Amino acid sequence: MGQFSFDNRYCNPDKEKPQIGYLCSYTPIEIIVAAGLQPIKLNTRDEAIKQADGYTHNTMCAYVRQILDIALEGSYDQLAGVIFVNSCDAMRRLHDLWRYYIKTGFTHIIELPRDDTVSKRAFYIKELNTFAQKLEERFSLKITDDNLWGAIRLINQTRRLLLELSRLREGNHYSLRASEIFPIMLASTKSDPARFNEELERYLEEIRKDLSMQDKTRQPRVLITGSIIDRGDIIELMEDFGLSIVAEDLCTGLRGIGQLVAERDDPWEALAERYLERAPCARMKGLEQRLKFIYQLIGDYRVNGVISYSLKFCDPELMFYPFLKADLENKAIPHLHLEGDGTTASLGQLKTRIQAFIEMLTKG
Amino acid sequence: MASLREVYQEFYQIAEARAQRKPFASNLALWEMAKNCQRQLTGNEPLVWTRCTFPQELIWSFGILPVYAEMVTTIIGHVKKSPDFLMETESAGFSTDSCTVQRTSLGGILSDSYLKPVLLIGSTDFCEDGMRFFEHASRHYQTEYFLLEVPPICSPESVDYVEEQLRSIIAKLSQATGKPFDQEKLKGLIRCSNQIRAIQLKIEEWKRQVPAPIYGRREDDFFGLLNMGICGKVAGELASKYYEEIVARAAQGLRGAEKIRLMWLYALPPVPKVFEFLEELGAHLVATEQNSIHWDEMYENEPVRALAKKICQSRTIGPIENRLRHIIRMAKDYQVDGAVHFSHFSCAYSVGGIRIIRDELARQGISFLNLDGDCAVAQHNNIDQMRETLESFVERLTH
Repeated sequence: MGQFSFDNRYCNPDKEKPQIGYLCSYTPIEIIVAAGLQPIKLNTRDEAIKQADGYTHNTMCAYVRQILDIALEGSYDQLAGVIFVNSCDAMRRLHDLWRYYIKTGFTHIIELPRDDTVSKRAFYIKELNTFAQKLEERFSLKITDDNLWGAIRLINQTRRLLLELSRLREGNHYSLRASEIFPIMLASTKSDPARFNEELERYLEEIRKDLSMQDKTRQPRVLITGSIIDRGDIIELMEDFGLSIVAEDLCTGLRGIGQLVAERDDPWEALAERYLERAPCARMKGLEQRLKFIYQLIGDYRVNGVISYSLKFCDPELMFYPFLKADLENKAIPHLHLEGDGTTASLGQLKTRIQAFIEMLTKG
Repeated sequence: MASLREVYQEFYQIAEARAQRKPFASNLALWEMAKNCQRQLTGNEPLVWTRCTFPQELIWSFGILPVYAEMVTTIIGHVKKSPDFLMETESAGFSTDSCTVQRTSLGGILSDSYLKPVLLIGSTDFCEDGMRFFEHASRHYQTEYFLLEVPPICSPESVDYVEEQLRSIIAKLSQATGKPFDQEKLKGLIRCSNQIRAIQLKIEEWKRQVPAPIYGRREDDFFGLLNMGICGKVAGELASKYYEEIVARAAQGLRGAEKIRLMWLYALPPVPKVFEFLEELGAHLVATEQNSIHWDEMYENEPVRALAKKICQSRTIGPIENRLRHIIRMAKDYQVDGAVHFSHFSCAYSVGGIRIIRDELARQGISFLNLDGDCAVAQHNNIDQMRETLESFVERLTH
């Protein structure tokens, strides 16, 4: 069976289009695509912070500090714009710092409500409209409802394909390792969506023909939950320690790509509905919904144990963990909580604990 | 380990003794707060848990006692029991990197089931952990939690949006208490709050004088106390008495020479010795960000809308400019020489913007010092180190 091609033809941003950086999985990338722009998710790197701590505090979230560090050295200078969401205090401050010290030509922050009521949804639709207007003004273009529907269908297809890829891990007849799937998920966040979809469809077609392949997953089967893991090396390292990750409740994983936009009625309302009702991250109100999503994954992917990975000083996720802990303990589901700064070095220090967890699950 | 009930009892004893020994307005206010805490414990009156930015007038108008999460933390800290309650949260899996302000009162909730509310009201206009607190409290008490969404910029549309949500809260409070909304009562409470605001403005005016006849953190502490649990006529009387005492104190003359005028940003840590030390150095605290007036007088004839507007005028929401505008104005109005920013451990809301605040104050010719610490737990602050840092800063300013 062939491999997924990370070739530039498929997994690269369209360089003909202005590139718009974004950070949060709640960014309505459909609007960016509808504007004829190229969305690019900004990711961290596996390095120590060099400059960011001179601009912010070392008790700020590890993800925000990393992104700021990369921005300060000019690595995002080619971006035509950066879009923020008021995900949390750290992200809000990153937006402030960006405006003062990074000087990207265009930045915008979207106010995302934390739960879904009639008035909050109406507010959010206005926010989406405002975002679209700002893009129109800045880039001298027009976003029509037709453009938006076209973008919605394209991104829905991306999500559909990624979900199909992930669901191969549910069954017994065929399976992919997380270190094979996760890079594909990440690649989708910075590729031209049409070309990416084309390659993923081809790859899935090959896989469908070859369903008799031996199950590659090892036991025990583990779900990883947390806020952000935005590089494949972290997942790969976890697998090197012996973990068999079958599902990811992460912003950059199944939580971020789940739920399609309903292709009916008004596209702005459909978008608002999708983003407000998708599997929530820890910043949203109603953490019971998050737990429900986690248990759905545990069931669908036949999970034996859960690893919760929190970034240092990630307020929402650190405050969500006690919910999760209490619930998993009540249901006697083995779990392990890890904290790291998003680097492989910090994870390396946790190797012994991970291996002990695997041993416990294996004997269990 | 002490329970919240025991903490409240001890707090009452301390406050009562202090007020009877020295019946100054600040001590009487503390005692009033302690009496309200006792009322909370009886279970005879409905309670609503909320956070420091939510207007208490609305809650009091239903005859409900507000329980402010930050005030519970302050009271626990007052009787030096914070570490016990923090340990309670650590056992439950809360990270020691999470805010101690929220975790202390959460520890109080988890340690026993007193203070069960009829509703929990959070808001998005301050910090992340503040919202998470209510998720946990809601689960623990099995009580509904309403989250007030506050837009980042104050505009007529924002006020409409917040007003609509306040009306939803009113409906819920009415349902919870079985009482109809009493608009006239709310107007009366707002009238009192406006009077208190006017008194606070007069005090702020005193502090703008050079040299300032009154200075220090006492006013911030006093009005902070009123804002989080004492309302209406009682609060008005306490504020009036406080002002009379201020005038009398000012008439006695300055306590020490004013060498440096300081502004304190963000929270005031629970370490009074640090502020006494500053005064010994001749560094007078003339402006504090935390409880300074940043909202317009409320139009009592439209009480719900007035509260919505006050909420929207918060300096804690939205972009850093909302905070910065207020800070720069205070720096100019109070003619400060330097600003000390107290950075509460792991508080992304406050520490995330310190570089911007520092640079913008520098443009105004104002020196800046960042002081790391814990605004909830006195024991987490290294007082000697703080003193050294402040001493160097003051020395720099005087030369």
